[in-house]
Amino acid sequence: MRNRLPELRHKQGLSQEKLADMLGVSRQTIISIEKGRFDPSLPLAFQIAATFGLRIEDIFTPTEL
Amino acid sequence: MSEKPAEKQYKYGRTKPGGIPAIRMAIPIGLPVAIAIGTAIRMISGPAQGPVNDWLVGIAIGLCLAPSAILLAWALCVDRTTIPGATPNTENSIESTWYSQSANDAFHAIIMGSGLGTAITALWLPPLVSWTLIAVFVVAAATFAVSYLIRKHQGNQ
Repeated sequence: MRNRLPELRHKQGLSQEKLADMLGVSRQTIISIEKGRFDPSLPLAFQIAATFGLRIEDIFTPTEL
Repeated sequence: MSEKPAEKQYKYGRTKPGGIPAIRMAIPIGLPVAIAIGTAIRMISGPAQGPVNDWLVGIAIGLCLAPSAILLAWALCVDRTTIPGATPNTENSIESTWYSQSANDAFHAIIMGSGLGTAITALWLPPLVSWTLIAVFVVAAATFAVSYLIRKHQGNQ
């Protein structure tokens, strides 16, 4: 799944580690999400959206088949 | 109004937030358990050859088991939220996915290995080898079946 996480993170001046701490997950999780290798769980997706004050669909876009 | 001082963090965590360090509880629990197991092993292993103090041997075995017993006691005593640096939501982390996928791979490898191994070893090796592999296959398959049925039952409630 494609996402705007790196862009949003840089806008708010957050490091991957800082964002990981805020979400209560490992830094490796953030890295994998940003690279599109790992899709977050629904609760985590909602947490990410709330962190940036956006909707889930504003951050994540399904990869076209 | 004075501020509450920050709680001191311990490398191996506490038994609960504000509680005693978990390692201080783990050692007094793990050490006697290890020595008791060591002594039991010595007692049930039959008569010794030559002049041997059974208690000393039991204690020596117990001391070898002590690190594992203390680690197990620590795992049971510690409150994970008090360990510095511990990830709070491990269920949402990618490491949890890696674990599940690896366990899945390991299960299938055991099923295939023990199944094929049973057939192959029956041709050249003593029957005990085949029977052991059959037992491994049955335990793995039964564990899977029970786990599947439990989850199915929980999902239907």
